[in-house]
Amino acid sequence: MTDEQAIYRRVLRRETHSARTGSAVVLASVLVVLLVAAIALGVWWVADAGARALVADRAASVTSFAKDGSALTAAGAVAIVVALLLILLAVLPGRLARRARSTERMALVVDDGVLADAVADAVALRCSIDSRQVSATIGRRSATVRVTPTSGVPVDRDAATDAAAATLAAVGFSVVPKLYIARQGVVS
Amino acid sequence: MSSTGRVLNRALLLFCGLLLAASGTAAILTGTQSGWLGSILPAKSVGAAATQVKVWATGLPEVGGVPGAVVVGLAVAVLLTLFLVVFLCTRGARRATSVLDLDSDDGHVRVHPNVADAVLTGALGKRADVLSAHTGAHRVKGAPAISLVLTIRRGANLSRVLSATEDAVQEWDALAGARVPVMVHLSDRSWLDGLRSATRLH
Repeated sequence: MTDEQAIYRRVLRRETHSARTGSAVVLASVLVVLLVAAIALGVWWVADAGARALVADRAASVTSFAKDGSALTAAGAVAIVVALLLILLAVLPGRLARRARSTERMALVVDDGVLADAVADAVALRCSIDSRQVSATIGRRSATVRVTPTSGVPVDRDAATDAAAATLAAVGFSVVPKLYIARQGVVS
Repeated sequence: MSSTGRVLNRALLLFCGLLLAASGTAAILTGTQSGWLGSILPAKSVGAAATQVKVWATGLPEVGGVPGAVVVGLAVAVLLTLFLVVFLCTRGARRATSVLDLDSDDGHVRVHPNVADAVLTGALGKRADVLSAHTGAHRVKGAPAISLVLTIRRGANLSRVLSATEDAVQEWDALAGARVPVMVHLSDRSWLDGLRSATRLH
């Protein structure tokens, strides 16, 4: 493997998986705010001896809800839900709705939405129907095309499937499309 | 495309998640006065551990009349804050200042990213089937790399766009005289792009 291909492999892996930067930045910002507040409180406590009783009173009033079992349970439940969210963000791969490949010269990343639009347009063109009557969804391993035919005009299933497959193959992504034709057509 | 470390993002999320999960579980168990809490955490051992922590905290030497535990707490908070501020400052893409560095007997040549942008997006940005084109310069594994992001107009022929992109990359190769890794991203349209005209008027 050349250095260039190694770079492409790394780039494509990073471009198709979420970096979790947004979540981590939000979490870190919240922690910074809490820590700065705690430091300010601590410094106030150290610098002003008269404030110690006040700080202790405030702290006691804040923590007094801990004596109420139901409030503590509710707070614990909220904490566990947030914790579960954070753990899932950390552990799940975070695949993005994109697919990637590299050629001899460049690395290519295509958003699934771009491919879906291209497939829908190609099928609509091949079937001679309005593009609003075709919708396409690109999944990780499959492409689903849904066609709503014009009333009284049959849709050539093979031609539509070929058009979808050819569009994907032209960009270098070989996915077998699944075609669904609505039983009821529309007047267009 | 960036070379910022991502492991730290997930490590921070995981650490805080586990800490919060432990705190939440403890709060629920305490709040519900669950019977099996006593079997998991016997009151005696919990009390002994708490006493040990208190003894350790009160045993810390005072600093200028301030209890040692408060000083340690403040120091830990300051260190954590500094770490988090550094963490925040190092997030995001670090742009490279050059896309090509060439050494020769006559001197050193550095090519600014704007040159690559002009060559790569010059022709592509004017195409009727391309809504927008922009480039970025990055360092990947210590080497410069270029990202080229194209937002495609609905109804565009993707293979033609890719063919034009390859031509632009070849033109860049010929101009630069060296191969710089290029990542091409065919990007989805944003909601704002949906407001644009379906055709380009020249």
